Amino acid sequence: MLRPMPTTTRCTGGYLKGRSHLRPAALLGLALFLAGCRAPLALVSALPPSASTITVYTSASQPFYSAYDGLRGVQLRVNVPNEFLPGQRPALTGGAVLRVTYEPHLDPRYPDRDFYAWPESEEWLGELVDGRTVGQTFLSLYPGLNGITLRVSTYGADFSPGIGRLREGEPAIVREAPIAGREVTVLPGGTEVQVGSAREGWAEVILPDGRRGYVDQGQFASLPPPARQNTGEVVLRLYRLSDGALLRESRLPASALHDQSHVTFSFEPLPDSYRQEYRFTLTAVGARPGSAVTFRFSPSDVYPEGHRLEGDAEADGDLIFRPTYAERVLVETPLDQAQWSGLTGVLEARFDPTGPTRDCYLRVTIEAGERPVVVHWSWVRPPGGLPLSSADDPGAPAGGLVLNALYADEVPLFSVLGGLARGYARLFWRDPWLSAGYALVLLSTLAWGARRLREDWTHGG
Amino acid sequence: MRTSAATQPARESGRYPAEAPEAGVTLVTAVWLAGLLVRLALMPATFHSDLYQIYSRANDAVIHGAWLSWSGQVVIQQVHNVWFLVIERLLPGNAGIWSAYSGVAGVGAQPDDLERFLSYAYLGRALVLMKLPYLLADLATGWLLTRLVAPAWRGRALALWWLNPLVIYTSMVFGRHDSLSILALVAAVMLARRGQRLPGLLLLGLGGLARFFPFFALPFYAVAYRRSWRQAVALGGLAVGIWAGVDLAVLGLTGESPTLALLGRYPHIRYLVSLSLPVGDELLPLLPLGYALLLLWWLHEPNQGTNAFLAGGAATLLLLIALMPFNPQYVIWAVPLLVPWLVVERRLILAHAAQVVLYAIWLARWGSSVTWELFQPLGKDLVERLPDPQLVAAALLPAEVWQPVVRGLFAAVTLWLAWRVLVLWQAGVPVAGAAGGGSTDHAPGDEGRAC
Repeated sequence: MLRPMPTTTRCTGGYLKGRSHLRPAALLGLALFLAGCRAPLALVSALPPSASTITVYTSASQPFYSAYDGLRGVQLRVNVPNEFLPGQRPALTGGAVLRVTYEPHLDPRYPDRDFYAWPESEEWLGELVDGRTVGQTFLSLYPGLNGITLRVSTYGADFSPGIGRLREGEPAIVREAPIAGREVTVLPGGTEVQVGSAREGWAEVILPDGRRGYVDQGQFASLPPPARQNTGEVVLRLYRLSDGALLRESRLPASALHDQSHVTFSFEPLPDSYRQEYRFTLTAVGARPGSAVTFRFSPSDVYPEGHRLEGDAEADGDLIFRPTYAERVLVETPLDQAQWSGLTGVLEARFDPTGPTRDCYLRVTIEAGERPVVVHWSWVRPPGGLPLSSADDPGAPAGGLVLNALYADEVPLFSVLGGLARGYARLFWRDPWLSAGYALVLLSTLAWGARRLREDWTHGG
Repeated sequence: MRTSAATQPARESGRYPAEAPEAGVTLVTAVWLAGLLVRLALMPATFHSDLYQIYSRANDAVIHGAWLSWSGQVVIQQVHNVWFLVIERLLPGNAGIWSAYSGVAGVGAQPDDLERFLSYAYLGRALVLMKLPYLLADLATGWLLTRLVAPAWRGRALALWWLNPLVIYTSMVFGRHDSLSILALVAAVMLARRGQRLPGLLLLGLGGLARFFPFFALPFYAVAYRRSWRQAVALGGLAVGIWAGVDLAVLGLTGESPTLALLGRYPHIRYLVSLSLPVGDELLPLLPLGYALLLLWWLHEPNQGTNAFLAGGAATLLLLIALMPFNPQYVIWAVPLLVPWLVVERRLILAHAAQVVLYAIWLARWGSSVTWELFQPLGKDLVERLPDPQLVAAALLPAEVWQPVVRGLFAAVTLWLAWRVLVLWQAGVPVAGAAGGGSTDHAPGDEGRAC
């Protein structure tokens, strides 16, 4: 449902009525005005120049960094048809839908920034055995927190280095990296191949020509036996930082964890987790030395918003982690009801202000309806610097969709002005010589002015 | 000074009284006080990285002896270097607050440098001392303008300069040094009308070396204050000689010519030819065209004396502002030579007010960097919570609509002001009062008298 939004500054507070002269009600209105203004804002000051267009047959999307709250519109540069085939419904986009969702897994502000990178600057914590507790404090940047992803090592509990044999009749793709790495080669089913270490549930294979790659462990009929078997459970507990209340708990059996892999401890979503501070702890139950897993951390401070914990004490560095969130659709609106601007060539979809959207990564998705949508893209990506993606064309251009977002953001004018006044006073408070100099200049100036005026009046000026 | 029959109706109509009661002391005093209080209030509260960078380079000069390392704006840099020598001892523990990159063209002060400066314990004192020369320059220019116009117009002239938002914004909020060069320009006029043409020319040349705007007024100066055409040519030659002398001196000392550095590296030169009309496969730049036409027309008119210079100079500076892409701090150049004309016609004041309003809207084009962010000394985090005017404007209207409209209106009002200045001059409106607050204008009134 689209509702037109005012495009001028809107204030949540009252406003002055009639010709009242500094009456209390007017003063109160002024205070509310200053305290709660909503300012119209755009994501970028002007749409970037189009490089070309992509045709959306199923869907295309664009992540971007949203700096403001109160998302109330999205502008997209598209080509709209000006004539329709016989029997075709005249509509701007033929039933396309625009959707806005959170995109927390692209947010680069958590320590686990690159899924595939295992930098040498990071280390393993050492075995998490019974009685040891490690943890981390963090700031949740999105609502709907529903898990914590960490990097775990099982000390070779998947398999030992040796020879593995692929399933008969099932060719296996060897990739440069697990899961989505570039294809290196294809091994015929039943092949015996040398395997090294495990990563993300994949086995590193060493090809006869010396090249290395990864094959999904599920494609092996047999692998060398594991170096060890881990026992017990790993327990993640989530606490609210402010009062220490236990909010969620998640358990995973150590034996189910893969060596050198990401593991997510999932729990029921916390709907109000936007900009809340939390602490999570990891403990082991039934894990003895030699049968326990470990987690990855950075000895240096790579996450300024939180710190690592060893027991209850603060420790150097940070765990390599990333919170996960339940998917939440902020807006879903038919593009056919958007407003077309012949001046700028954009479709503007407006909706009620939604949020929270400040300091978040969002994704705008266009889903085609009964006919394709032709969308413009630019080499200039939206704020956040992330590329567009197309479900129709994995090799889509490395640019960004030509889009803008509109907001109705709260401006805490009253508190900002108060803060600025305090900042002004602080300049003088910190520097008595400056204050004294100003006082001297002001007094001298006023004395000069008063003398001049007295002379003028004395002479009948 | 033009004294043709056309001047008589203008004077006799009473619209532009040459003799009027002197402006009240009360008004002048109130203007002085108000302007000073506003400036004092703003001085410690605002800052732009330009201000920080020029003093960082001064720190390089004074502490590391790199006096001539900044060849682009060598004259204005030397002024700041000398002033920094004076104030440096008044800023305890300032060694760590300056940027080592300010003198590296293309790099400039880094965010860490600015953070260090903003967290300096004596930030307010530093800003006041750094802007003090601009305050004094504004003050001196204001006083000179009151001496330039007839006593009747002193209050109005002072208010139009000293309380002018464009002047206060540029000098005190933005913290730009243009007012020093403007002082040289106005002082040159005052010297010339007292008969001291060569010192005036020297000042104008120095002002032009500091900022390029006064150079465009040089031809008008040389002609308006000539005793003969031969002398005008000689004055022009002397100006070129001063430039060449300074250029060669710096070339000899540093191995780099400021002229070539300016022409080769600075965007300001490109600004002068940015606005062009396509003529086939060529481009016809409007500013050089307009400037040349104005100069040729002005040369054809009876053009001796201060009024002639003020008309030609004001129109030229307005032309520059109207037809050149300008940075926010440039607009102050529209004011100094315009003030004597504003005082005689209220319609011009209204147009100038419109110019100020349009400029304020136009500032949104640059966003927070020239508005809220200037108040970072009061609290960087707080300022960042205010909405960027550029993004507010974009949410209301497409940039391709509001920006051309505002810029077009600004240029139109500015060009109209230039045209009205020339019309008033043609009508013989005497904007310059008697020289020295009582004696006559020593500028030659006509060729015959001059010779």
